[in-house]
Amino acid sequence: MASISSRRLAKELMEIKNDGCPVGINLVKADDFSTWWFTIQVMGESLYKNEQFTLQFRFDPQYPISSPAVQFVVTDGKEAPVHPHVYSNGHICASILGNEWSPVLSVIAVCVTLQSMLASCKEKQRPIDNDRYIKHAPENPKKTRFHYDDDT
Amino acid sequence: MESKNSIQKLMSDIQDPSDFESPGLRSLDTALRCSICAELFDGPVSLKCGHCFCSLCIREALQQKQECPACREDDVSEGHLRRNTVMEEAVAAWKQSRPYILLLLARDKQREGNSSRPSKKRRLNEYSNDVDTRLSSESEIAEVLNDRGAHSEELVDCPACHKPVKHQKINQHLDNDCQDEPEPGRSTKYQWDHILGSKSQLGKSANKKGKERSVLPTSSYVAGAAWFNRASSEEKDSPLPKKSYDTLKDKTIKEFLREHDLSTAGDRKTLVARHQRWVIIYNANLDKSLKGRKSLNGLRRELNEWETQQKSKTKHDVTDSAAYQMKNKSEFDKLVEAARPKKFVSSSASSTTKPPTNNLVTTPRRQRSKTEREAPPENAIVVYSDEEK
Repeated sequence: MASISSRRLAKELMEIKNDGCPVGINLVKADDFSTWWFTIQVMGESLYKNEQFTLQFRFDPQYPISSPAVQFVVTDGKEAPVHPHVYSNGHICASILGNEWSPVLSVIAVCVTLQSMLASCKEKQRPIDNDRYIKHAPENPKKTRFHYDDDT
Repeated sequence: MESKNSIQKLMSDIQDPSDFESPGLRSLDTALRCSICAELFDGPVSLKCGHCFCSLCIREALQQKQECPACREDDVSEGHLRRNTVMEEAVAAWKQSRPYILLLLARDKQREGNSSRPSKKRRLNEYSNDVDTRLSSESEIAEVLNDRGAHSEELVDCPACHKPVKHQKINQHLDNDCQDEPEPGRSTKYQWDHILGSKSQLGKSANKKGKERSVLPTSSYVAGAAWFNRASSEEKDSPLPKKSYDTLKDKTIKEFLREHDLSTAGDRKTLVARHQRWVIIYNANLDKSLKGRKSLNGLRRELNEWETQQKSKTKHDVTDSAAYQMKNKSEFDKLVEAARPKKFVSSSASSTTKPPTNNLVTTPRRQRSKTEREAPPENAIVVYSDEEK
């Protein structure tokens, strides 16, 4: 009997393969149930026109009770979007990845939320504490306790 | 980690709403699934906001966060969970008819295929003709479906006691500790014993009220006694209360565990985790209909499996330290990198950068976790860099 997390992820993957991803989001690689990669683009008019980013999802055996570890990939020439909630090491300050995670959310739901987070961005800039954060940031963004002060 | 092969296997035997092409059936299948585990509801319960989940799923979720996962209604707790018996029946009926509907749909599709391209898929045609001639009525199809696991009547050797047991019955047999119980219905005495609870499964914990009631004269007031005893057997089935472990001594927690024949091995943290998990799976089991419930032994086995899984997750024994260093080189490098400027700052007391401790207090956007706050001391990191060389 496969674990609940594997079964749930298998179902999500099945849905992605049958119905495809929402516009602007593409599955890059999902060979196991521990790490998946997606590309994400912002459609229409936005500050990120013609830019493409890569998102990495890491799952633990408690998924979906515990949230996945989500970050932008910043290796192999890839870069994190310049955004007030995205640190240059790829870590993302978004409440749904932390204390507002809910087990009914899914990988695709997270992708869509991040896509709309980018789409609604008004000014391309790094978080004010970017340099300080990346100096001490843990490898896994889930280990950071973010303080969510912006409700946009 | 699972290999690619096993993933493909899992993907192929997973059932989900996409098995159906028609949007109506697809949404029906979706509606009968828990939004946490995406399986058909297992012991469905409703919260007061009306959202429904498997009992085990929502209990796990509430342990993390006291809110409805679907609507974030935050005034919820395990005490608010109510069995959703109608949903349970709907799921049972759907489970029964799902394969039948899929079979009919597959036949339909083949027939369409037959008329347009008669030469293709010959083997499938033969199969569908076979189905057509052999199965004239619905009940026959249902029978075939039930027998599809053709080996259900086959005898297999029990892995524990090596007695031959029907494949169908093997789980039940194991749950009963290899003691074959008489089929309910075979002996009225057994039924009465069962109702009267003389084989009290909960042992000491059966409450006194229930005991008093069961001494009622059964011979003269058979009907009345049966009524009372049903009431008492339901009381016996009341959920286990949650404990506030912080106020309990190790000894008391061990007593709780012993009450349910659970292991008392391990440190306090393990004991608490074990008892917490037991309360969850025990209570979730009670949210199922009587015939869907697992035996206490079955639950104990589940608890053991869960513990092994937990252990394998938390234990990261480093067996080959050289390989471990190679694997985590980038991480070590990062740590070394992070340590160097700090060392520099602290020695030169530069005024341009605040000391790290100050940083943490004034950081506006994030707070670091406790373990991080006890920042890796310089000397620890120096040790890492030494090891690297």
